[in-house]
Amino acid sequence: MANPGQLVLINAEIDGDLDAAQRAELARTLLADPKARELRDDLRRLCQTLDAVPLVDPPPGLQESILAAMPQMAPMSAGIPKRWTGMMALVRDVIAASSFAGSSVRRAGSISTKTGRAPT
Amino acid sequence: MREDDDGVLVQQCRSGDRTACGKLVLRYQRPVFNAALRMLRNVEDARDVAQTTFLKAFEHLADYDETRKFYSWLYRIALNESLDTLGARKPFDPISGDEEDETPGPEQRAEGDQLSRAIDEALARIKPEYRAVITLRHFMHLSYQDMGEILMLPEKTVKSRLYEARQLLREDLLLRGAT
Repeated sequence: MANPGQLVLINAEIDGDLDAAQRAELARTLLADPKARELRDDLRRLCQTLDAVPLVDPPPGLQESILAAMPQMAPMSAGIPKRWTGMMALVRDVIAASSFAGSSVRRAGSISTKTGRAPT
Repeated sequence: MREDDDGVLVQQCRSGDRTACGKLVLRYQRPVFNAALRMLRNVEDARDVAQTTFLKAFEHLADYDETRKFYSWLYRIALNESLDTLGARKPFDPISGDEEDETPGPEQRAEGDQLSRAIDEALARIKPEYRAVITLRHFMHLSYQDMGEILMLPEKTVKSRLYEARQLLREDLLLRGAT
């Protein structure tokens, strides 16, 4: 079993994360310890093989099936938590209701103008 | 910002633009499907996970934090969905190597490559959390920073988990005389 220090150095070397001092330390370790060399060779081969595995294509029609499964999307507010969007929707409804009430008043006013009364 | 940047497409998607959503699917369906495939080793399950991943992402797009990378968020959903699927599949035996292997076998990719085949089988025998770090690092070629964002772990923890995963794979291969 390799010691944890060796494992860290070997893995960091594989990932290209070693600085000069660590590289020198690893070189000394590898020179002195055949088991560490064996471990490094195995891990390097393993990682090279893993890295070489190509991505496979997704099944045909995946994109279409995702889009077909999507419900009709309403515009949403970016970055606003849901509890706030609910509250905002309520506020929006209240404002809309007041505007409607206001416009009714104006309409009523215009009618009332015809009848000679000043709009409220 | 380019008009086809993830950030722009996400904004358009939030405005209900399905074409933008389609572009995001087209861009990320391959890596998302492959991440799920590596985790699950089953084409149908991976397809289902990929579909669920995108649908959940679009449904919860308002929760996405734009200071983070979109793909990190997406891959996180994909991994969680994969882990849920694994959990549902074998609730009391999450670490067995007998999952149905429908991935395009290494023999199809490189005939006679016994090490590839052995690694593929060894991956099925390690815990899902180890399989996840191997998948993100070696198949998705992500940085430790990205991996940390996806797994919501400090980079140091990601590294040590990956080192353990590699060591476990090596030990498994040695045990079976496959190195």
